[in-house]
Amino acid sequence: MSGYSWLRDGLIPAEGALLEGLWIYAWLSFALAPALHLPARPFAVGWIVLLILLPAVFSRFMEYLLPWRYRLRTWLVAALVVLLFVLFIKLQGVPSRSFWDWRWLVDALFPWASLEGPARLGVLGLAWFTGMALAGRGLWLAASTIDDDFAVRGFLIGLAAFLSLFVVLLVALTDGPDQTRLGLLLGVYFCVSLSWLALVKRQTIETQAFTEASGRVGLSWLALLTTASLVIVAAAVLLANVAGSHALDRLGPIVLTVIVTVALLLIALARLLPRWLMGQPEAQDNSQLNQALEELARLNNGKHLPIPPHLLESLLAGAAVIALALLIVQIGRLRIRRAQRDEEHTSLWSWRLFLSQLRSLFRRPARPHIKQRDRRRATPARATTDTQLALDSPATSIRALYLAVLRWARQLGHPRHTARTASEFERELGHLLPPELANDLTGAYLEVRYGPSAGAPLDPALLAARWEAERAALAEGEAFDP
Amino acid sequence: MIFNRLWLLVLLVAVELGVWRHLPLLIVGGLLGLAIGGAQLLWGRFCLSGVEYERRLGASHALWGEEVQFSVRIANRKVLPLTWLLAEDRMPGRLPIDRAPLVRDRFSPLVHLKSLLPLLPYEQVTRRYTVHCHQRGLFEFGPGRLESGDLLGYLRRVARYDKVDRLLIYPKVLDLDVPAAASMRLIGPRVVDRVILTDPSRTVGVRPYQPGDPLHHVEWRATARTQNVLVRVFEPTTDPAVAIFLNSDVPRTEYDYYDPPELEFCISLAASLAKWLLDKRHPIGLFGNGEPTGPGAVRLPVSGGPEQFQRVLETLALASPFGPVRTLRVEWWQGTDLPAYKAVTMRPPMSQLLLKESARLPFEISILLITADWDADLLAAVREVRRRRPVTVLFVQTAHSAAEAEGADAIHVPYAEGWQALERLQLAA
Repeated sequence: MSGYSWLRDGLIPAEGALLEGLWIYAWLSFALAPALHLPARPFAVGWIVLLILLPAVFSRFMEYLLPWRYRLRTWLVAALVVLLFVLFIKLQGVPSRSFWDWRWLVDALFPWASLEGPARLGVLGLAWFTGMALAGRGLWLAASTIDDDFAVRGFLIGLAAFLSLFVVLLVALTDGPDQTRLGLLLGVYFCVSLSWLALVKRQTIETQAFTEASGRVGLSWLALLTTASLVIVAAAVLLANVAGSHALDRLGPIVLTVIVTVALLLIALARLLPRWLMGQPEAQDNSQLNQALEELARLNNGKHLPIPPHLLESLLAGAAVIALALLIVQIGRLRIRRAQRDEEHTSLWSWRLFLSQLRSLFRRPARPHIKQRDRRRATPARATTDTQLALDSPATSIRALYLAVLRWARQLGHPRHTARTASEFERELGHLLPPELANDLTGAYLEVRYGPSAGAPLDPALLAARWEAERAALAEGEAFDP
Repeated sequence: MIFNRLWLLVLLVAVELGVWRHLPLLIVGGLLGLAIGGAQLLWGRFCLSGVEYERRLGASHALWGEEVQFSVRIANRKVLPLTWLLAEDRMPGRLPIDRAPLVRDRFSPLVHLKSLLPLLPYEQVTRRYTVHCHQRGLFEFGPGRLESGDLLGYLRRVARYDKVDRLLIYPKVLDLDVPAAASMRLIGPRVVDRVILTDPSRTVGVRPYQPGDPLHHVEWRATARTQNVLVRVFEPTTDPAVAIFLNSDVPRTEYDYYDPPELEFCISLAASLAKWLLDKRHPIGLFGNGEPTGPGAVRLPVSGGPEQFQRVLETLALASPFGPVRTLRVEWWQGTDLPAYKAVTMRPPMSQLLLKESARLPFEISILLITADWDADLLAAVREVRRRRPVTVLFVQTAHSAAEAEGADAIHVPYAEGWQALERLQLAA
């Protein structure tokens, strides 16, 4: 491992854990729990995500912190996993039992010997198996290399899980599921998935281009990706609405939740900040909060908003983390900007350019002669990238073949100077190809260019095949050359 | 692509099932997947449309030590933004470029300038770099390559930018303190210590007439004034036209690599001597034993024209130390019939070149040989040529060369590491 990267070892595994946690939570809450006649939503989504996330992230951090102390590292990770598992059983499996009542430890370690009643025993058993499986998955994620194949596989598994869950709910359950919550989960899953896939792929592209990923997230890249993701989600929702699902109606509560969240955050900040900063006494009533909630509930036709409990505290903690992250990003951005003073960004936007592009886009199909001209232009451009040669006319193909050889030689750092003749260049070509092939290629080209010689004419297809074979062999040799 | 055909089918079935059974989540889920696939196709098709890439080099020629500005302009002239665009441009690896993210290829000596950047709709990014000209030679910038794709990066498209810009950097020219080269030319701009033949265009005084003096040398006005027949006294001069011979063989104990600094010093010395001689209006020529023909060959006829120094600098900037390459068939391993080919540079020895070229030179041209390598053959060649014309030998003493050029009566030029920082060089006879 070459140093700790918060992106590679922190954010990407964390996002992966979040995605897996989302669809596992959906299956546990909406399919398994009802099927087992357990209470709806037996476990909090946060705990499910944490059980996968913490081992994955902690293990990677320990690998950076204690690179040579394998045994200690293993013990620390094992201790964390056990602690998480026990806490999960205590807080989600047997939440009613007091911390000081030691019997919850028996429930955690030996659930078959639990003294819980039959109603609670089912939740405990499910918690036990879920905790084991998720902690194991977290350890697996810690040991995995998250590349683009892994990310695509993970995303598709999650999508398949969601789609199959919807089908199962459609077929097996008579009562309609909580579509708002499921829709929220699906929306979050898609948005996080897009950022996860893009982050992982960006790491791969950076590694391929620069041999090492930069470990930075560009703000403009992030903004572009977020906008594009939102546009994709909005387009899908609009299409769904057109298809008759009234998804926009379902989306209303979600949008209102976001509005409530922001309003609550602002009100809480307005109330709490003076107290924290100036030491003012706490206001006696929550009238502002209540007013805001009532107003928003009225907007939502009096329905109850799907606001989870302890939202305010979670949001405050989240806001603090986001503010800190933004501050760090801003400082990093200033540093990068200072380093890139020689970079200039300008806008080429003009209505005239945009309209002319739009006009040409609509005009093009109406004018066939332009299409023909474009097609004629496109042919050599394709020939520059395509190695398949049109071998209709021997003269044309030999010239094309020789041009392709010259292009290939130039790519390898042996360009032919315009002042050098083909015969002069033959010697240099002989470094790259076997001398016989270089001689044949040059001879064939000279024949086509300057007239036939005494020897028998060479078959262009055969010559092209020989060159292709030699080039492929050289490429393979280079690829395996240490 | 993230979704293959099977997945697209599954998503379509999900949407249809959702529409049929009125399950909005199934419709939204399927459509979100299809929207991602559609966006991939859209960006994959149009990502490189309207993308412009332009490289600008501030100069095509530069003196050693100069700085040349170099800029890259990337523009996205369309509505679709690009979350990533990878621009690769091949760069000369031996030139230092300020603040440029240069990446060396793992399996080849190529160096690329790489930029990975997002582009907004109708955005243009211009990046400026400074090239420090601290290496002699012809350097190529380009060709380039653009790569982009869908929003997430799973679909890629590549376009090539074939334009190549060239920068010719001349060798470093030092100020020299050097004794003049000897010449056999009888008349020229330089005063010599000779009494027999003089230059009638340069009158330095008068003397009394002696029997045998030609009548057109009589200074009639002085004769009339003094009432004694006086003749003009002329200054003896010479014109040392010089052919500089540059030996590309540099003794090294390590493996022979492309740019030995000792050879660069010799090339720089040749350029400095050429300037010194041309400043004194002596015609010069240049001969070297690297490439015999082509742009890398060092072969310049003697001339004192106003553009000769430019030609000298260009020749030396392009000088390739390698000779013609022969491909030899060698056995790959002893006892087997497996053939293998080995490219061998066959650089002609300086002794041969000296004998061959000096025979073709006009009688009055002197020879100035710059060499860091010395052997018996070269000594014999120098002695042979000295029978017909003056030969001045500048022997560059490197750590691996002989202690002195025995029998050559040479001017010794000690080679010093870090000579690139020198501005002036003193050569002692």
